[in-house]
Amino acid sequence: MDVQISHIVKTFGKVRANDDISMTFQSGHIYAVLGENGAGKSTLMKILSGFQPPDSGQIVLDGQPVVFASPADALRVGIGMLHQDVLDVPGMTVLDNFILARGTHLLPDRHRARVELSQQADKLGFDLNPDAYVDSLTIGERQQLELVRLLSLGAKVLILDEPTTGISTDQKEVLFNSLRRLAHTESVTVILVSHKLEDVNALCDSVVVLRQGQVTGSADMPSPTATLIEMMFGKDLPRSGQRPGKHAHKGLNTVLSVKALSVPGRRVSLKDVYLDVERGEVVGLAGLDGSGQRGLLRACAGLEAPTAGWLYLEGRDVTHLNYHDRVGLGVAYTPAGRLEEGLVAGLTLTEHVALVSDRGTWVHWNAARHEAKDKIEHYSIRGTSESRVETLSGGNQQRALMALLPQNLKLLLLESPTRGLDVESARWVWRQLLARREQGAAIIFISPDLDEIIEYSDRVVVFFGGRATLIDDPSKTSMAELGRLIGGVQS
Amino acid sequence: MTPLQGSANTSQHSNRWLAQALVLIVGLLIIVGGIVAVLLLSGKDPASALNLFLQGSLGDATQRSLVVMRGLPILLAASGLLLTFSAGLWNIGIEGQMMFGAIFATIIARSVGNDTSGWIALALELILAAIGGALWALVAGVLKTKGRVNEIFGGVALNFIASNIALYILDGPWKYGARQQTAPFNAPALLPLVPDSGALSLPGIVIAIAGFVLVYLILKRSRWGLQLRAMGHSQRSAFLLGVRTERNVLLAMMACGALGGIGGALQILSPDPVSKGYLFPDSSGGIGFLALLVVLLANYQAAWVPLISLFFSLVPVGMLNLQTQIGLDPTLGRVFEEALVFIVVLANGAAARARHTMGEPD
Amino acid sequence: MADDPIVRSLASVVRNGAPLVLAAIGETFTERAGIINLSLDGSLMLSALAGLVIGINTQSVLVGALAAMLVGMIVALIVAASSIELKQNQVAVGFILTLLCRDLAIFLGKPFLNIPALSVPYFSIPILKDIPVIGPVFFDQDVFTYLSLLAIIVSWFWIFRTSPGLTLRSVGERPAATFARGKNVNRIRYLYAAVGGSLVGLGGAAYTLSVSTIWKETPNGGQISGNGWIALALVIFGGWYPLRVAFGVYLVAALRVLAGNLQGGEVPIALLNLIPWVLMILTLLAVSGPYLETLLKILPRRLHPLVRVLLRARPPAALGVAFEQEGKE
Repeated sequence: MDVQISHIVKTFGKVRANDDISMTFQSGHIYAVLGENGAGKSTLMKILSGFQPPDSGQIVLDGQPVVFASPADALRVGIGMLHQDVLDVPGMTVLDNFILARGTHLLPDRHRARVELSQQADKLGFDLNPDAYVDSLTIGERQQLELVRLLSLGAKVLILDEPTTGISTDQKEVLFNSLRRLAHTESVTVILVSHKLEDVNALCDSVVVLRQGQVTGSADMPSPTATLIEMMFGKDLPRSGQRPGKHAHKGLNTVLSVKALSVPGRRVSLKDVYLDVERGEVVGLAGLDGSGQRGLLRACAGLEAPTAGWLYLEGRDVTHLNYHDRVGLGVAYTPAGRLEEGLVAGLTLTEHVALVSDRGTWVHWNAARHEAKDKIEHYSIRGTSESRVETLSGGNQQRALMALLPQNLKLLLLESPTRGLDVESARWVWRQLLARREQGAAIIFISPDLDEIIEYSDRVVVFFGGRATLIDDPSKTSMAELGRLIGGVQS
Repeated sequence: MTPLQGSANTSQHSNRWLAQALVLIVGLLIIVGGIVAVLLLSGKDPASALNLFLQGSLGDATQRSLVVMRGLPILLAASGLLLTFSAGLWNIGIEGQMMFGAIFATIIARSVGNDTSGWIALALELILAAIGGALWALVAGVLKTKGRVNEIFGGVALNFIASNIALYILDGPWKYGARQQTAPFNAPALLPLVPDSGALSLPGIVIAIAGFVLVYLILKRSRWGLQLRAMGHSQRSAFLLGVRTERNVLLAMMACGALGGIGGALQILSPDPVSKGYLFPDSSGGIGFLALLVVLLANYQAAWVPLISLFFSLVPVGMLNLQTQIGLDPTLGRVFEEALVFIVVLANGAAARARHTMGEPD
Repeated sequence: MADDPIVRSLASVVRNGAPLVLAAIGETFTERAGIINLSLDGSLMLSALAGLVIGINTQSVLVGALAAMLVGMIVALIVAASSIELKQNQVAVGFILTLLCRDLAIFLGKPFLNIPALSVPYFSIPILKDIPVIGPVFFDQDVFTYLSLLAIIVSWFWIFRTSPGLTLRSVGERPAATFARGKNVNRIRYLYAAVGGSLVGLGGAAYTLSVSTIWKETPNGGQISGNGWIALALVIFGGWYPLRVAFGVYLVAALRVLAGNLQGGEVPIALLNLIPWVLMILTLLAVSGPYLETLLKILPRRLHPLVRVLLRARPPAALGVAFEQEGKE
């Protein structure tokens, strides 16, 4: 199905998220829509898939102008969208999710649905257990279910929003293969929304680049990376690898010592992990979503109780200390959900500063306000001391979280510190983190982005199925090798 | 729930006010119309009923003092609830906590002789009342933090348990004659009255106002108050930012229970026609629920609570006169208060909706 | 056989449980759709009064029951509307309504205190009534009891076997996903608030038209007041599964029959009245406490569905949360 969108405009308040965008997608091709955060990709795709109406502009399918009142409308004419946060119902089974809102009969034909589900899944090379509860699946499997559902409902245009975040290399391979087959043998139009150039290189036939709500260029793949980057950012960014010299692990000044640690998990339990981290060292934890790395991080923070093993902080046994006691000893933890877990939506920056500042019965609001203003300046937060944190942008929320971290940290535990941030903001975050490292803090972080882990870690621990493998010198390990370890392939 | 926000933005909110006023006016008209209809249907003159109501509540110093004294337990309980609401807790168990306060105060009050010092007796009674209320609130708190039992359902069950415990005690160990009540307390056990003031008692007023002021300061100025507010917005974030949330849930519940307990004690220790000066089965008398309504009506804004508490005590006092004079069921007063809160909450919602459609930020 | 005291007690458990079954199943529907109607205690009383008064005035059980259902439905729709249209906290609105309806019922019901209402005839179902034990317990009852049994079976079938039931579950779990599949989330919520509220109303009518035909509610209590809270707790106990909810109701009803038999003995009434509430706390502890999650962690994965259905009480994920369609300001 050919898709033509012309002169789409969408504004939110004063922000023109889409500013007169026109582009064409042809049947049987795989496209990438590239752009940094806030470039307008997501808005455009939500308009194309019926989640939001445009302020003005037109969508034409195979020469017919269409108007969508809802995503179901869009799917009815063949446009299906796979969201980054898969829109399924976690509390129900795979089969129930497949049947949900399908057909008009009072009693669903479960048998037929089961057959249809397995046929469609087989065709795509997916392996789905129809009776499993969705909340026990990996993100990759949930994506597979959603794709199966969309295709079985007749989707001829597939929009995928950042589908490779949080899934395994194997799952990515399976996904890409099935997308290629869909496009090239069944004439499905595939639109991949991404900011990962490697995915675009691996999969797409052509690419359209957005910046600040406008189309800044398009190209047929393969294209030189530099050209794409220039279209995305308007300037040639310095190549990565700019970080100062790596820290060689000497086995001195050990900050954290993990011994024979086992942590129970919902799907995967962490078993028998040993790890020493010393002052000024950055350790990246790699692995598929739910392989045990989060369990280790949270156990180190005191948020998850280990079933066996010990944790030592500068030689002191902290296995049985709770989170707040460990914070008192110089441990800090920042979660991935900035507004869900990190900051208190509804409170101002001043109130946050007062909340984390020194003890004492009464709050000195003037002092807190001054401190907040200092931090706003020092961390270049776009907002005022009286701004509620939920009104800040994602990047500024991350800045606020950094600003709230106490001084003189011994151990900094971070969950996806650059999640959802554009390249500039992510680099800013890492400059802050590396400054902490220079002050002597040890840093352990999780990231779904392997590039980030390779770039910033002194050592890497790869998790698979609850087992940890230590890589002493990540710069000497190839991407492919890491990918194999993450996917659990023995080398 | 948006507990205890700063004052509203002063920018143009005309539509919002319009929507709010519209719902309020229509709502009040419906309530008043309903009451007038009820009066007319039962053959009573609405105008003279209003007159009787006002006389009964504000007519003379005795009546006015009664309004003030009946307002104190409401104010204390509502102050306590400001703390729990701030922390995002629905302490529906306040009713049982007040009952426990009254029971604990009675432990002292019933053994106070005529020659005991009134000040010591009163101090002991109120301290015990605070302990009793706090303990009962602690049960609900522990059920929530350790057992993950929602405080609403735990609280409701604990309310019924408290009232049945009271029934059991009053039907057994503390039974006075044939009635379900304790013996009337001796004078030193009761609140001392200001001479010739009707029912006015200075210590009672001071304690209630002190309780409210303390809560106000805690919420606006103290670190603990800030922590509670943070928990009210996001328990999870507050925890990770260093707030010991579990402990604070228990502390907030206990503080609320203590204030409610003292309120429950004032309820039975005032020597006035309503409180009687002895423990009886329904000593908490729905005051806890009334206090919940007060806070809802105030939209969680502490500053409004004293005024609304007074208003909520004025209605039943006035209704008492209507009951004795023309035999009107005082339940009508309750219906009026509840309908009022209902209308105001809807009006707040209408304002929020108007604001939403105007595209203003929430 | 029908004279066997145990069979008689069981039959009375089923009959006395009927109003609670109707109310709790009604609330199960409403909460499955993501709306928590906390007004149950008050709306049960107000609808019971409506059933009684309209029933007496029209001399028709049917009209009385319909009036009661209308009252229950209106109250539930108010809760739904103030959440969906006015973005107000469902708990707050429900709490206010529970007090308002309760006091309204007490005030308006005063002239009807202790006036006998209509009585609903018993009719036994041929053939089925002759089954030993089952027959006299389930098939020799009045119409409200039959309706309560029907409500259990139909609600289970509807929620877990039909397409609209599947949609209902998804609305309470992840409304955004339901919306993406082309369903109108808020319309569905209104619908099930109405259905659930009507069942609550029918439960109210069952009190005044079936269980006892006399209005006894005063500010100091009565026979209905308090039951709405029990029904709400039973929905949690039942883990939002109709069959478990009904099982909980019959457990409570059995305890009451038992307590009734003990009355006048050594144990004071107040302590007997305490038992259901203590049990309520204990059962809530058992189903929502941390112990069950620990059990789930230990058990092998293939046993999880069984444990979920039998023991776990996890509320619908979107319960009490208003649905906001993305990008629609």
